[in-house]
Amino acid sequence: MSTRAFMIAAVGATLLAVIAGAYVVGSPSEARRRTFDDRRYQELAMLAGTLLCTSDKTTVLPVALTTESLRSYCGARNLQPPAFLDDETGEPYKYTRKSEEDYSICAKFHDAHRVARLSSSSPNTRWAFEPASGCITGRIR
Amino acid sequence: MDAKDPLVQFVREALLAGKSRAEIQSVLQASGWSSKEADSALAAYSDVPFIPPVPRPRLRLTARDAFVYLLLFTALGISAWQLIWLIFSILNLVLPDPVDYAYVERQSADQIRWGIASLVVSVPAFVAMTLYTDRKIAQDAGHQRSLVRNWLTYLALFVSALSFLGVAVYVIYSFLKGEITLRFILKAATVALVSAGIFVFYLRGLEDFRDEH
Repeated sequence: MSTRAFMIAAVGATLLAVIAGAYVVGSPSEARRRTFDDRRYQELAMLAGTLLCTSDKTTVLPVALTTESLRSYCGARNLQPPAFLDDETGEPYKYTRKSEEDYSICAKFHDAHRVARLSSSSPNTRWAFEPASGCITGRIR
Repeated sequence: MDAKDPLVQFVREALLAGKSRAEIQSVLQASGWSSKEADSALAAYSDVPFIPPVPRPRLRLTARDAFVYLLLFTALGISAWQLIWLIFSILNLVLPDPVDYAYVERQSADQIRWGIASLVVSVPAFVAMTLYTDRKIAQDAGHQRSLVRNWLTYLALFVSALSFLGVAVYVIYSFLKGEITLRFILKAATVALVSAGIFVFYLRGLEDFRDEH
């Protein structure tokens, strides 16, 4: 095999693979949107996890999610709560207290179905993510 | 062979004394040296009718060669590795397998980005270094007798042969485990093609070098 033939084969194979890879993985702006979606999901999950902080059977869900209300709810003065704001839009995640024990926390996702598909390997028994609404709904007890 | 080797020194003195190569070969074998050892010692000097004996060109070791060839072979290694991983990751996304864990999709997308980024840098570096060394060798054949080049060429042959054998073992193992899918076959073919391409190219290079010397 001559150097020229090897170089043509190597460069050709690389170009094909790079073009196919770029096509499959999408544009950089799409990658950025996916990163924000992944972060949204992680932050919603962390908020849902924080709401499981109490084992006191008389505790009821806070009316609103703030640092102070979560510290009071968890009974931990030094609690560092997860993010309440969406990093991309700057808007707060939408928390709804449905009852003393039931809640939902929602965000606007670009592709919530992808997020749900990728997170399906780690199901949680106390809360669930609904891709149609972009919400995590849960129960604290 | 080392010029300070007593055997090489003996050959030099015998040639200086006007003994023929056949005579030297015969006396060495009669003294217990193997035919190959005697040939190797005689090969230290060119077969030209000239006294004193003319040493054959030997492999050389220079800092410049070390820099050039380490860069070239590192670029080759990164390019081959990343090309294989890029194709693996594309196949993971294009041909998903029900046994995949959910993280495979995210991981593959990230590997594709790393693969593209690495190849965009390493392949031009490899091509540029290969063309540069070829041009230098065309200008002066002495550049071909680089010790580093020789060692790294054998290392490339070793790694590509090992990859090829590793794939063969894994294909048999996967077949026995019932995991032969189209995606798996394409991945195995990718490793086999890349390693075989590198192996054949560098083996031919070594054979050409041996023929010329």
